[in-house]
Amino acid sequence: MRVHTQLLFIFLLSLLAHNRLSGAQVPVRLYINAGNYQAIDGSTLPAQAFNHTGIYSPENAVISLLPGDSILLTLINTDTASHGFAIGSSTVFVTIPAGDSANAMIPALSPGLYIYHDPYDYPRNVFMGAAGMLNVMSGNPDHRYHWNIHEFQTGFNTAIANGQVVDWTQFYPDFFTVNGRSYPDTDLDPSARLMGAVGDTIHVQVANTGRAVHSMHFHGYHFRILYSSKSTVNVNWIKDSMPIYPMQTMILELVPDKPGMYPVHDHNLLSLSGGGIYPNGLMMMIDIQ
Amino acid sequence: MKALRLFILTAVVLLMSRPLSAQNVITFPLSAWTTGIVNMWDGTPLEFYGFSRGLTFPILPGPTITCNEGDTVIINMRNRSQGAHHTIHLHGLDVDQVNDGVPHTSFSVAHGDDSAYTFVAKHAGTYFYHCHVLSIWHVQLGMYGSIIVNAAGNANTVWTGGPSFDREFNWLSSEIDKNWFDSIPVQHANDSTFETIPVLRYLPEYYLVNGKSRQVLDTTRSARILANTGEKVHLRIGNMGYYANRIQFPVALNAQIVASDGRPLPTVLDQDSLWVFPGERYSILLDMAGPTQDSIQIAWSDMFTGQQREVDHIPVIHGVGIGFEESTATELEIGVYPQPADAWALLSLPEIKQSGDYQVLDMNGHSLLSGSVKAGQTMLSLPVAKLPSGMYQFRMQSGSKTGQTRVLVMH
Repeated sequence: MRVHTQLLFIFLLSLLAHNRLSGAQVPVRLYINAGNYQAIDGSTLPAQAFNHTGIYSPENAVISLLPGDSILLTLINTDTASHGFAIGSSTVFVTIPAGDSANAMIPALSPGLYIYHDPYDYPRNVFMGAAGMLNVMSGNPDHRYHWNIHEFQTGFNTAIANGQVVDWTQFYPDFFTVNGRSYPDTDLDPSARLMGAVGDTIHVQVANTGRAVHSMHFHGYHFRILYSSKSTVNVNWIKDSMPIYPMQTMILELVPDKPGMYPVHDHNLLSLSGGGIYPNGLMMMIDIQ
Repeated sequence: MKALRLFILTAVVLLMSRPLSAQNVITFPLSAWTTGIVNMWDGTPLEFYGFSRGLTFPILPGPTITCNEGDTVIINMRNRSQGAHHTIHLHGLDVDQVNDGVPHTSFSVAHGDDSAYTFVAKHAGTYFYHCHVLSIWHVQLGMYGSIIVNAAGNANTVWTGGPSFDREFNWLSSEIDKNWFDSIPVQHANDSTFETIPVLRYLPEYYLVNGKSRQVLDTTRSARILANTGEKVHLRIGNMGYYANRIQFPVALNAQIVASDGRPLPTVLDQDSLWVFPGERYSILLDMAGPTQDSIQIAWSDMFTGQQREVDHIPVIHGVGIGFEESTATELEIGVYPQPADAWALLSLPEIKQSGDYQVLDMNGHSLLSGSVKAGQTMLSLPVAKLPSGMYQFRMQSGSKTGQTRVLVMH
């Protein structure tokens, strides 16, 4: 029996990894971890994340599905406080006591990009970093990249970890991250650095899991907005700068017409800092051959 | 006969070598400085970094570069900044890497050096140029301006073949945190090897449209919309600040959002409010209808908290009859150096087509100096040695165009 279970698990994993047929039931195991985020300047601050293992990493796990896929979700709370799980504003809401685990079946979602997050004590745990991306893929681009945009404010993280109340009207973040990293480390992240060749179709999945609005500006190229969770009004707009609101997701399509190396960054240039030092924070590179 | 054949052949070759459309090569001299002086609405003088056309004094924002779709534009950039490196990033123009103005992927221009940036204006629209060296500082300190690409042939359409308009206006929004200007830690070494720089907490005191704010914005022609009743106005709005702008149009203007970032929108948006975030540009069409005197509201909000920090109102005036053609001309931009001045104050003047007059007034409105300015004259030396220390108003008029600035004298 145990062998059969293992074989089934390996079979499901292999379906997830390679050319899986859509409409499958996909097992996903997420750990809710609390840990210390090491900022770009070497300082640390308390934070949380959803990871594939029980060891805290600031890079939340990315769930990629085909249309029609459902999720067989296992949640393991390694923290000493209760946590929860929800996808976007859907009704799926799981609460997991400290040190406990839970299972949930998530039915198939429409194609698009979603934020799964910890709605428990909202927005405190999301602010601490517990929010990741769930992509129900559509289209057939040559490359897919993702940016999970977030901010931390050392004093707020520390206060929330100590159970204190924070005044959001005083929010002024000191660290800005993409997939848990800040520039120049974003340049080392193969998920964040946009690479391709002239004429390739590149899809960038962007989620703002932070508290601030960000206005991302592309050098070198305009992009087309393929998907926006906030409004369909902006779909098919061709832009070089676009705002993304807290808890909004967007999918951008870039088809480069020339080679080159260019930055992409928040044009609220205050977000290009970390610990009061520039350049840092919300900047990535485009590298087109 | 042989000569005739040669003539015809030559004529054919010459005709074939002509471009099919009027595509020009435009050169624009742009100088980078760290020695600008600008007065805020409350009289506070600020030293700023900035750009000027040619070697005149810098203005805030920098001079607008205008061309037509299809033109090739060469910006001859001179760095006269007393130390800092600078670049020109051509924001939104999708240039090749070398012309992108990012120091670590292209090049920067050292003090005393000259360099050229080139772009082909492929899409009519509104764009920016700004320095990309330590951009969080250099942009805040004033190193930015607008690039306007008109439709091919300078047609009065938002884009080539797009909706038409009768007259247009350009609003460039930004903010100033005086603390950043007072502390300028940008005295970095005269090389491009610097890597990091500390930044300050940002809490602006001045909220600008075309470099003006509060009553200066309300009472000068720098941004106000003046048109004939029934006309269609094309308003360009761009945000070079670090805050979000929310624009509220009077309902009677029937605002239509038609383009953004140099591209037409797939569908025209009929809406009376619009958010413009840092780096974005929009084209809006307005009907000059309804009350003859109204205003468009512009608000600035903190991107981190969403809290609104400032609201201003820019007049919209329309009427019947003559007088609007000239009055819609841009206000004359005047630079002053040095501030404060001791013996002489040097003024940089825009090129005027007809001669004009100037006056220097004290704060009680008494005229102390006066004279004339010739057509084409771009520099004026004011003898201020005999004026007591204090603040003075310099006013200039050329035809229906006027300009004014403050001159600080200190002995």
